[in-house]
Amino acid sequence: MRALSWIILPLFLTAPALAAALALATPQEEDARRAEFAAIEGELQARSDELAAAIKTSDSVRERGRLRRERKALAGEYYARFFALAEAGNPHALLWAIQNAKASGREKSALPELKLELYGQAVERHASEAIFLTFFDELVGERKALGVPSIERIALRGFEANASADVRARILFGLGQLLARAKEQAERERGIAYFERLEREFGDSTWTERAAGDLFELKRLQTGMVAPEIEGSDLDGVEFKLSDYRGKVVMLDFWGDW
Amino acid sequence: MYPHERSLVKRLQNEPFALIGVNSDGDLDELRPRLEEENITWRSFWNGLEGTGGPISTAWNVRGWPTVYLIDHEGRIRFKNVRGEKELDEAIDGLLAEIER
Repeated sequence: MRALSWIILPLFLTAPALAAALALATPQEEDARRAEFAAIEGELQARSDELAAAIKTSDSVRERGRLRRERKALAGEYYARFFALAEAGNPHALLWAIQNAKASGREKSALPELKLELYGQAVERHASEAIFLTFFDELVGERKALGVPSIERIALRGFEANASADVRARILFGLGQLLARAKEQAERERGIAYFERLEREFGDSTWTERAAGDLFELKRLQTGMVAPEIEGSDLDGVEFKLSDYRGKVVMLDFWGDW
Repeated sequence: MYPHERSLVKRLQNEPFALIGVNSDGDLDELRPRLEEENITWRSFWNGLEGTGGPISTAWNVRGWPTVYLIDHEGRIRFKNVRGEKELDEAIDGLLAEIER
């Protein structure tokens, strides 16, 4: 028993130290952050619901128009509060500020810059936390607004800062997917590189398993490449191969009667 | 899809062209009468009991149905998912013209 507690005790001691080093939020801190965010968001939602109800019951066209405009402007009215909370280190408020960047009141052309600034903040303050993946999922959807190079740069900073194998594998997988179907050859090649790194460094991760199909498509199924062999049976059970049709133009049609 | 496929097979019956399917119906007994009803005469690999989750479509990373690849007479992939029947016809005719040259 004594020997056992000797082993366990140092583990207890090092866990909080590790969390501090990685600037991880404890469960209590995370609960507090969620509550802080929910308080403002709840207030916004309540006012939005109130206005929606008023719009329904009002019989003046002009009044309804005014209420609709007021409701539409709500996010803008609250933006500064979410923004301040985000600045104070609340990741939920930061995510809200990214998702509602339009409500910031900035010119449309200045929104990518604002988003980059906010994602920069996400990396600086939350890259080592699991919640970074929530930002990452949002980020990979911003191809049009931010462009692939910015997305890669931000994501890789998160990758470097995060100690969790699952988070790191997930980032490589997401970047590979983002680039796998790109039009430019150079981007697809970077996609391959991310998937190969995923395979190399996180071989037993479920993300590696999920990337296998995309990786095969990138390496073997691009136009100009010799089609991989298919060996199988037809609907009457007769075995045949795709290469039996070499010399002919083949339309290979994956179909089903549904 | 079937009407266009039937017309392709008929139009190109004397050309070095083959429409090869990878069929992803898990239940072949249900499919068989449909082959007659729809006059589906072209050959298909069967993707197995798992249907769309079968081995051939999984290996080829197929996520949308139908997915069409055009392969030239040298076995190279030349087109993926050509949009539009007219565009597909033109792509096939172009590949056939390469053989004759």
